[in-house]
Amino acid sequence: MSIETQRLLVFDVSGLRYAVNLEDVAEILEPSPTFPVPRVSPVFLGATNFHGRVVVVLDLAAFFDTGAFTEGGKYVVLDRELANLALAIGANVNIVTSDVILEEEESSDPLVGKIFVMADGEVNLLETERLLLHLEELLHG
Amino acid sequence: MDMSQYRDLFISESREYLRTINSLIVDLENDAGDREKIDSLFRAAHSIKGMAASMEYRDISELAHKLEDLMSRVRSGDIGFGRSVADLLLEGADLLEAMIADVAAGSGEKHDCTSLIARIVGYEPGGDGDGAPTGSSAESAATEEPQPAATTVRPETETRPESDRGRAESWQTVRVKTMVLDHLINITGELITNKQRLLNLSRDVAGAPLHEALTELSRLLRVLHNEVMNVRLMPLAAITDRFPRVVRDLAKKEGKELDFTIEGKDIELDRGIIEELSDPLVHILRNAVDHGIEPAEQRQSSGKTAKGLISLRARREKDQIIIVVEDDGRGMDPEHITAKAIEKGFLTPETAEQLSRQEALLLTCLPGFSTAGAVTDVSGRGVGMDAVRATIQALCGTLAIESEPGKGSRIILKLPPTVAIINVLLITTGCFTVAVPVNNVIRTLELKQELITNHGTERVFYLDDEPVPLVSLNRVFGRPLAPVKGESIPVFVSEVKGRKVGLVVDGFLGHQEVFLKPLGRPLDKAHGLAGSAILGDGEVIFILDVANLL
Repeated sequence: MSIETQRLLVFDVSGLRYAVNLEDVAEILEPSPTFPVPRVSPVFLGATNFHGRVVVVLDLAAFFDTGAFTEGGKYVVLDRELANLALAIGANVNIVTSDVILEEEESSDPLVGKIFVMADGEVNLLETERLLLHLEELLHG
Repeated sequence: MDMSQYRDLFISESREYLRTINSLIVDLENDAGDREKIDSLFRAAHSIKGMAASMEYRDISELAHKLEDLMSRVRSGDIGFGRSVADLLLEGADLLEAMIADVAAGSGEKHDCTSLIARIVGYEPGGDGDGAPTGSSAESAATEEPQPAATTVRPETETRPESDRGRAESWQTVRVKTMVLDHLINITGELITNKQRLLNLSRDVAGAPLHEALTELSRLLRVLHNEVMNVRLMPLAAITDRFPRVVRDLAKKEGKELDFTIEGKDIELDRGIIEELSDPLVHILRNAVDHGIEPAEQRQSSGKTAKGLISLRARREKDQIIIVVEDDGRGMDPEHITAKAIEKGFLTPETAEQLSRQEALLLTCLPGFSTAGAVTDVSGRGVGMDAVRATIQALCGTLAIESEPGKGSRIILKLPPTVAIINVLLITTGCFTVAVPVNNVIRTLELKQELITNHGTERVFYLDDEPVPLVSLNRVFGRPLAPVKGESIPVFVSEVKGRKVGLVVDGFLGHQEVFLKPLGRPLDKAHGLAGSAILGDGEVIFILDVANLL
């Protein structure tokens, strides 16, 4: 294994599997009420009150243009040191350690750092910093 | 002994001493005979030397020691305090700052000070009299003993023994990490949000005891809020102490002579505002030196003193802090500015005709606007005043410009003393509930439709005989226009890029005190949003940055 042991949060978005480093995650939430944010792309579902912190919710399916957030999905709130952002994902979420990775491949998608091959299929590792930079560009216009 | 725990203290105290040193050097350039300042300068260098030695930062200690020696020569009258001494001391202060930055970065002492130390040690007064001996006595009783390291310079009139004073003060004050202060205001803000929530819930529950308890809770929270805000207050001096040095260096670079004065350094503002205010003020001062103050010959030929005057004055006026930066330089011509704005395509000649003098001057705050004939490395790139204005408005403040060609300019900043908890006007428009800081609202009105007229391509109404264009906030938000109900429409008037604009909304929900939460990544890159807040019922709202909305 070429990578150090780390914990990953693996989830699905429109049938595709993604992962983020667990250390980037503050909490996984059942969807809470969102409030509209003026003048932002519709890929943002709105903003939500997360323990007194205002986080904007990104519909990952809409962002990847593979569908839209559906009932039963969850919100993954990123660590406050990283951003005030939650990712709206599908219903299937689990935590794995990197020990279960059989192989890793480079991805051509700039937002996906690596593709991990696991026993149950491929997982795209989302690069949260690149995602944030991309969203900032999107918002800045 | 592990000294790492004292490193942060060393860094912060050394930086405070360096700010003092910079300020004193510039003061002494104007009044080289000020004995008290010479002594203070000596002691500040001595304190850095002592602290650095105790932390085993040998190079820093050595350089501070040599600066202290140089000041000792000034004290003894061996050399005078001329420009060359000032330059050498400032160079030393800069190098110390860089070496302390190395320590802060954890990279050890990377900067080499041997060459500067050699120049300080070998310094001899120049032939032009600069730095020539003054012959004054060395033995001033007040200055014989430098203070021990890591103690604060105090007035000489105090008679209590040094050790007792230091101990007494250390018992009454404590250094607190700024992060703790930020947590305190966050917790207070959350308490205020929750108080609002309780008040909302209590409307459905009758009972005098509950009402009394909530009234008392509100009173105590107000007290707590005031105390927390007071703790966060810092004097303006925290940033202005370095300005004399900034102005001095710029003036020297530009070959200009000027006097710079600061008043109101004791005025206190929230540390959040102080931190944000530094760069805008430096930019305004740079503009004053670079574009405002004329060269000495030009000034004299127009009947002015050869030396230009720049002042920074701060004062408290009711619940606002007013900061005025004034120069007696060439001033600005509104007609010239308007012509430049038309030439650059910022506005049409028709629109330009409607601008007041004040609005024309504020065109200099448009992004990309600059009337400077040549771009210098000081200013004139047209990338500054728009950022200055945006920062001031993001702090819920305002910026105004007054200027007379040939007489000078005044930049007037009005700021709230505190941030974080602000009064806003709550607005509904389309599916949004948003807020505008009350400081950014010039007027709210229910505008009768017959008062709206066409003016060129714009729909306008007249406010105090001035045409004010109307803009729909729904349109700004990319939403369809709401159908007009009744004979009048709700409008709030604000200032956008120097012009009054009437923003049409669906309705007003009233004023409220909210706890302003920073947007953070990635929303802080969105245009037109200044922050967010959570209302008492848990609803998330956004605070509009009206100036950058359109």
